[in-house]
Amino acid sequence: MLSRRHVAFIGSVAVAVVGAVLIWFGAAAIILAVFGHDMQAAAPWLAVAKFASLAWAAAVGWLVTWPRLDEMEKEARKLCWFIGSTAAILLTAPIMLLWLENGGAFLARYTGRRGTPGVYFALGWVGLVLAQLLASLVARAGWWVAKR
Amino acid sequence: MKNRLKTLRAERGWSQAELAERLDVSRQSVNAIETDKYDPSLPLAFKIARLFGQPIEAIFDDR
Repeated sequence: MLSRRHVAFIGSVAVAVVGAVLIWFGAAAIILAVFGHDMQAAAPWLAVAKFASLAWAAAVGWLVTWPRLDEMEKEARKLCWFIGSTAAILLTAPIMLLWLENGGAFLARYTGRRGTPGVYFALGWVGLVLAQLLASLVARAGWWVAKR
Repeated sequence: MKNRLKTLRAERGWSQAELAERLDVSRQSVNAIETDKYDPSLPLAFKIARLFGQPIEAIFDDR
């Protein structure tokens, strides 16, 4: 038997996923109709539609789920994000400075070519976000062990 | 902080899941409070006190 808490969680996930799919396919259908299936012209708008659908899923996920979490779960998420995020920033900063030394020579050795500043910026941003997520998961595992 | 939640729950024959449902929290939260691994907020402490019909200080002891 599912508790109210589980039903609410499943409901919010369903709203997020169904909404994202509807936005993505609905927008894609409209964009392709407007551009007459000219994929090259439609590509930037399709990318915007994809971003909008993902933003919907993330926003609904947070807005619907957060108020339904109990206080201990909220405290766990806040603390783990704070610890994980801070640790990730401190750990990745020196690594990224080393990457970018000598115009990104370290990265160029592995990728075979030098990237543009934009590519390095994007790589650094994605790397930092991934590090934050991973470190938060580690912090969360620590919380679970301590409080179970 | 010590508390008598487990005793009070046992007196009523409730499981942790049943108590969690009545308090609108997760079963894990009830377990963490009972084992003194988590101190509830003041609103939740009041809710617990009202549910068991006792003053907060009769359930929780900070000494």
